[in-house]
Amino acid sequence: MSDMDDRDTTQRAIAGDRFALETLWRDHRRWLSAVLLSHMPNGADLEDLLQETAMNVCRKIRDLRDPERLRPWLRTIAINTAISAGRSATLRRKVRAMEDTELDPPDPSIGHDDEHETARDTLDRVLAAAQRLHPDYREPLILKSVRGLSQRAIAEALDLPETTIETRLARARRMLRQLLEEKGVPVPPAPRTAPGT
Amino acid sequence: MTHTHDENEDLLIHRAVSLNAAPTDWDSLEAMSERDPEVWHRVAQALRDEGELTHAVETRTDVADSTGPFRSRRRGIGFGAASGWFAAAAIAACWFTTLMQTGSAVLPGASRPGTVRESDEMPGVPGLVSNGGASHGMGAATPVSTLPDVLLGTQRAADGDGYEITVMKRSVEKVRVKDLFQLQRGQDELGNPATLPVRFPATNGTEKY
Repeated sequence: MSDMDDRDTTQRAIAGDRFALETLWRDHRRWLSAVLLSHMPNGADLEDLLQETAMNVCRKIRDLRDPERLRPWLRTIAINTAISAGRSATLRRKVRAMEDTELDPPDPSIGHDDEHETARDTLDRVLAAAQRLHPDYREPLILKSVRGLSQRAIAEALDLPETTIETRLARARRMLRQLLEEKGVPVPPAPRTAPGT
Repeated sequence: MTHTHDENEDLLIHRAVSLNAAPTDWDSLEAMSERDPEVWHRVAQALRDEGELTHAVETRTDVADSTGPFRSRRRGIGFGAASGWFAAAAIAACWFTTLMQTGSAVLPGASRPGTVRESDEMPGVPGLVSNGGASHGMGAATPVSTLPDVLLGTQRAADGDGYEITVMKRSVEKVRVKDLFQLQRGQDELGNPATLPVRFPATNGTEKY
């Protein structure tokens, strides 16, 4: 979808066009789910967060003053949804901890999170490593992994210059590799000589 | 692996991996590899990480396709299991409410907005209760008006034929009762709510609250 189409659809959604809102969500939900992946609290369900984000977008679309700033606006809605879910999750954990204390001692046979992590496949470990990066690097890197999302679109969504995003992505790739090496993800052996030498 | 990283190499590798490298960037990488042949190895690693991360993110974000501002869905028990359904119902409700406020749509089965608006404050005394409630009044309740229905939830019918919507119907009825009481917090020694009879000044027989 071109920027012009996006603007037109946004304006119609603001005016109350239900189908325009559907279109808008369809066009942006993929990268918004990547934003949520970058900010969601542990144990949260991505689908639930997305559905809640959709609800918030629906409820607040009339507040969007400048259709040109749709991407940063959507990102803010998604992040706020994730933060709010984090607060609820913390509260639930506290209540559960209190209940557990009152009921039974923890079962030592139940594995710790780290043990589950070792059972994950490589792909999960790559994503888990990316999620451990500092938010400044994590979010652009995960967004860059959404097919079709350009560096310019990421810069627009994060409200930062494209050069800043490029620098962060470059550093993020290196930091991701370092984390993967620390975590013991198999790394192909280094060649003894450079190709062609 | 120990390697002194330089920002320029990071940038060149990123451009190569993102397929954004200009011919001059490739030249620079070639020149770097003259001094440090492992540069190509690091490019290969970055490509591999990029591929795996893209695949992982795509797999996880597939769920996005089943979400929408007017969609409800089934899901299992887990974190916030009910919130998805609640969200879907709330989405529909907020949208319909917005439409009703603008007068461009009315919920199916709802009374026409305007008889009694949702925002109208019903005149009354806070905490007012009758002796036994409206259902135990002295006579049959007289319908006064209806408020717009509230959509509580939507879901596909269990047999797959159509949808089920859960709607809260709201109506205003008038019923005659013998006595009126008002709930007053902290009236008894335990701090429990207690009821006090309500007395209106005698008028010409048209007492109102």
